[in-house]
Amino acid sequence: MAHLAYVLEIRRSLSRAGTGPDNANVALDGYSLTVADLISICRKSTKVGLKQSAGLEERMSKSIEILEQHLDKGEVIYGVNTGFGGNADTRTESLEKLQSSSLQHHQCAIATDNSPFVGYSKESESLPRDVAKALVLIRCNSLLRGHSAIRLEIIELLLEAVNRDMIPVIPRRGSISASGDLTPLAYVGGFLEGNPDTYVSKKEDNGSVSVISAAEAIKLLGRPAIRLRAKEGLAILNGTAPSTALASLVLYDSHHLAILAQIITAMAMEALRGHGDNFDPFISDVRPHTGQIEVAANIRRFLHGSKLCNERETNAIGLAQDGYALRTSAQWIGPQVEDLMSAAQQVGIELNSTTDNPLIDVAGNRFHHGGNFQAASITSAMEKTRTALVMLGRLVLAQCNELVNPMLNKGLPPNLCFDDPSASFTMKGVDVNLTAYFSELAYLANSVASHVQVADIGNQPVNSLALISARYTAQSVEILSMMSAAALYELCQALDIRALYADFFRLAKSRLSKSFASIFEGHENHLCGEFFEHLWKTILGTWRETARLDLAPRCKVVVSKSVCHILESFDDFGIVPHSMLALLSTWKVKSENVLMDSYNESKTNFLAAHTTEDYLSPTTKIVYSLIRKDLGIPLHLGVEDHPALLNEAENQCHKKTIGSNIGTIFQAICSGKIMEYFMDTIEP
Amino acid sequence: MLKSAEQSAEIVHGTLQGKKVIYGIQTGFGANADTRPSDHVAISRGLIRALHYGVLTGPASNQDERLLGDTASLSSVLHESAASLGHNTDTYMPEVWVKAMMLIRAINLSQGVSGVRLHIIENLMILINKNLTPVVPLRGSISASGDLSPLSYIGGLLQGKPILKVTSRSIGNDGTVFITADQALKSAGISSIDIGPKEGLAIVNGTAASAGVASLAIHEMLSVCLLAQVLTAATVEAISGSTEGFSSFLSDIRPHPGQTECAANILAFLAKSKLVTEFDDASESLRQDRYSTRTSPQWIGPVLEDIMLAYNQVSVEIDSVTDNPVIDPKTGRFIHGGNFQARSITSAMDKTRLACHTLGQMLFAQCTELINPHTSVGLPPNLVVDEPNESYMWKGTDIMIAALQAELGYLSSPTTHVQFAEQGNQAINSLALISARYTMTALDILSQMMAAHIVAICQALDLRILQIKFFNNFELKFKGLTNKLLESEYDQTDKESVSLTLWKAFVRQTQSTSQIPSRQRFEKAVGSLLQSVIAFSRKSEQSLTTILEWNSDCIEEATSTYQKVRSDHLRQPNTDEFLGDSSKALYNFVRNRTGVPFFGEAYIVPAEWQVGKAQGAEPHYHHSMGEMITAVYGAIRSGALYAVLADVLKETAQSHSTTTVLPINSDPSAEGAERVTK
Repeated sequence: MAHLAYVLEIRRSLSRAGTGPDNANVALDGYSLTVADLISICRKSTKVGLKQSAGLEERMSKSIEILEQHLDKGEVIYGVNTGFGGNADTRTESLEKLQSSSLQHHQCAIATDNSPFVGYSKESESLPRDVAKALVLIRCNSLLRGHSAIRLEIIELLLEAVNRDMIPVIPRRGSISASGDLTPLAYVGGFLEGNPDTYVSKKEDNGSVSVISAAEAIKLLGRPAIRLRAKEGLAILNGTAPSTALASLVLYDSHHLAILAQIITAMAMEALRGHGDNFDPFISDVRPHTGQIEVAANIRRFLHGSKLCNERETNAIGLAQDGYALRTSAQWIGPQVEDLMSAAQQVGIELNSTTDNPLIDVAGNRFHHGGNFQAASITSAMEKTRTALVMLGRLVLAQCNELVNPMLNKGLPPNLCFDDPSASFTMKGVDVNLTAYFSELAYLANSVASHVQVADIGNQPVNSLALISARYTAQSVEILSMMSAAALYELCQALDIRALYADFFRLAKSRLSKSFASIFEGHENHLCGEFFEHLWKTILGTWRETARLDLAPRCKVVVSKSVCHILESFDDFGIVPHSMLALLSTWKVKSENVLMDSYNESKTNFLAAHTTEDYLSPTTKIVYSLIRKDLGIPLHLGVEDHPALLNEAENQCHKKTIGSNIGTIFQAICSGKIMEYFMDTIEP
Repeated sequence: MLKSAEQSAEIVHGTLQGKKVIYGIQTGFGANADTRPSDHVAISRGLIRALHYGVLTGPASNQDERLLGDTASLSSVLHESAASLGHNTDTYMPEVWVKAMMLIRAINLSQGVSGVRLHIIENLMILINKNLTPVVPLRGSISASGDLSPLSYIGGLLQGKPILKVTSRSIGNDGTVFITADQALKSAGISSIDIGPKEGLAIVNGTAASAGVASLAIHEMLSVCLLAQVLTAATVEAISGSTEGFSSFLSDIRPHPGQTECAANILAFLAKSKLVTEFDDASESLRQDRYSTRTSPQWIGPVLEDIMLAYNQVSVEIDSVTDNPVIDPKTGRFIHGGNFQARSITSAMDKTRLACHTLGQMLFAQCTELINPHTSVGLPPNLVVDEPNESYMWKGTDIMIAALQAELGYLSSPTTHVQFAEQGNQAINSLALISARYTMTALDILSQMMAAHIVAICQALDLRILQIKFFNNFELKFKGLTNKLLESEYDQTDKESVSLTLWKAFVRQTQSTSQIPSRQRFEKAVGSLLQSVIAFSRKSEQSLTTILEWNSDCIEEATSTYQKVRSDHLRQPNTDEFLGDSSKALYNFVRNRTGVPFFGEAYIVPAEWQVGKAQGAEPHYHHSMGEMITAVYGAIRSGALYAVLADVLKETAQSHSTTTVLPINSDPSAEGAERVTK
């Protein structure tokens, strides 16, 4: 399945969830949990229930029956009448005590801070609330499959807690994700047992969050605490739900960042006047990697209808082709998308798997001792995802570097400053920051998988480290979101300047053309026909090469180049009429003023009403207008926007630092606002 | 297709007079494409010239000592001292990499959209078939605008430049000689090519070097994945482990395709094994095998999934057009893009390299568990057949594989160190060749580790059978002695069951004390039974004497039985009769084809002082553990072992109807040959 179509499908089922009265709930049945379900419950507060089916209840009670039968026969069943892990050479008859003991020894995470958290990688020792919620759901879904010998009422209690927004506080460190994520899940067990020293984060209707003990939480739910029976502790404890939960959410966000990188590329194509050729289907036809084919098609689609980027031919002047940051972006993003799709498959299967041990085969009436808790599939998915995020970040960095560099940005001012570049360095700091973000992101790309240690007195010499891998991938999501926010901020600025330039060119061209005709009237034989068109090309070319100059000297240089152009053309004819010199002098003085005036007039008009949207493709327009209008991020005017230089009266519109503006975009990326809006707006 | 090659070359010719600006024909290159040269042919040749920048030393270089004067001797001193310091002095690519690169380039260009004459492709094919490959520097490509420099040496060879060296390998002869490119063309009977407009670019601008190395790497990796599963099955047998962890039920309820396939394969491999055991409810041992074997399907599974994705990425790449600009022969239009950006290959190779580490981690754990008496379920420490206080043979292997696994860990990180290159034009560059090269290194290291593991596991299997044979032989004797004791000392009628209980206790004791020399071990094991014997004895005056007699008889009998079984088994191990299909193939291959025997100090002590073959020795004769591991390593890298294992996989897949996802090909040359004729 194509990546964009896959993400659109998630969005569609998300918008379906919670719309109608019938579809308001997600019903768990052990076999059909999707990432969309998780998102709608964990981030949109959709309610969750159980699928009402006779089969479900029957298979769960049957698995308990089988456990009892086998115990009656005196069988040795791991974790039911043996010790755990490397100590499974002990045997016990205290079956219920053993289960509580299994939880007890794993409730060992260092927990100094039990406050709840939203979002990724805040300096807290707890997993974010949405992740904790997702892991409870995934655990329930897995246990509902009837291979684990656990009572249905335990699942019901957990789901009720989720619906009442009471979520166990889960530590984020301490799991090697081998025998599953033991320590994190031990705190789910702590909640069920009503352990007064494990905690629950409770969200009130007004949105405020408080932390209460598990004992209080159980009381609030009006149910007795669970006294664990044989195997039930192990069933809760032994599984990959925390790794899978974080991986699902991280992957969901990564999918969006991969699409955002394609949008950013499309906007960069417009801002840098890239060639439409870069994404021609012929190119992917002759190198048919599925990712490359799709990304090229996506960007082509995003650019359709743009007035800034419709050239088919190579440049007559300047570089014949775009730099690699634009031109090879399909070949760069393509393999990342392939990896993300592979990761999505791995996570999708894990969401609907049984991951504890030992497992009960109801039909075969037997126990299986295996290793379905080994979460290497999640590690595999997360390592790929993290590398993909780094590669996307590298592309965004390269594109942003080009935007601010007057050697590469095809005529935009250095650092994208709107005022004179001699005293204004608008995006220079952002450019350096982006490099810092990327360096950190690249550091995070190192493999987690290569740091496996021997654990559990040698019983677990291979352990997947999936949760660690997922956590650092979450951190990478955060950093790439920052980079994307900075890129969008720069791009909107660049597109505005590009639009202003286009307005200015139109005005200046018509005025200069008239002025040219009136000054050189009577010399048509020399300056005939297409001459002004050629002259105008020279003017444009010089304008493009002189972005480093302030406006006045820039206009001066542009005009003197035009004078040279006119003189050279006389040279072609071999005669310079004497009267011409005076006319040229008139042209010089007048044109400088025309250029200055036209620019200032265009600028005034542009500031009154941005014309940028007229030039953009319908798709990039969605993002541009979201940032400028909905988020209210203004064009950066230069030094005059510096909040510290404004008195209170002047600063009525509350000007902000560059970082605060980028921060607003960053938040809109993290909250999903930008991508959800985008995905819902484009045609499927 | 080949017709369209000619056609696209004609289209190039047609543009020469036109006004259109085509990159690389009417322009300069890269960030300097803002220049507009007038001589289209000269720039095409100049491009190739500018890219001959790699460092080459030693016989493959073109250093003229007369011109270099003093520096010539300096360079040879440097070369020698580098060699003496153990640096790899090869600054050029292995011949097989270059050949793969040439082949892929020929395939790419023959698709008819690159604007080269057919003649060029034909000459390339002739050179490949005559085993004439240019000497190509190892380093210097960022695989962004493709592998420019490596490919420029192919261009230089086609041009017949006398300054370039070419490796010539006469067919049927292992030796290679270095000749110059003009000599090479002469010996191939072809004339040099005047590179025309665009042709220089078409040759150098592509991913063939990365794709070539990656193809070789991924081909080998497919077999490595198979061997990892075979080794896992053998490890299960060596520890008398259980097949429970491979039950299809587990993958049914967690249906990752890789996990499902791996579990099915290993289960099929173990189907005929007589060594796997079901858990005994009366046992006091660990209820389940350790993670290194029990969770292997869950561990190997995602590796298989990644490798399949990587395999697809590489497969698409070698059949693609990767230069720029490309020509649509239907419309005659030039399309400027970036198909030379080799990130698909980086993506494939980064995954493969990490997979080497992941498999290594599991194999490392398995192998160390075999060597460690606390985890090997009764095997002697360090896998020695001699007394454990007299030999420490596999301790070295234990350390060696730790070093190898550490190095794999170091290599496993992704290739993310992209620099801002070529005046900013190549701000993103794939680094695919670097990734592929280090993946080759990782494969080499993993192969060494697997070679060590194979030598260890064959020894472990022999030791396991030795142990089983000892218990089988001694059980009757023990029970005979014990029954005699019971006759005189025990009144009850359930003599059989008492005797069995004592026997089980003896076995358990013996199993858990493998670190003690055999005689003391039996003293300890029989001694541990005394308390229960005394407890049920008549406690008459004679009792103590009878019991002590039984005690010493048992010890004597155990010791002599053990010694006899051991020397018989050392002389003629019949281990393969007990093994499952894959282990049997592996074991027999190692014992019969690499000459690595079941051995103790008696084999290796005289050997290590003899240079060459000892008198009367076997045809394969190894002087050290290193030589044995090397012999197995050679069989791995040459593909000889994989060919045997691929047959096992085919047979078991047929008989157990497992779905085989990995496209293992036992004949590495077949695939390539087929492609060329296509």
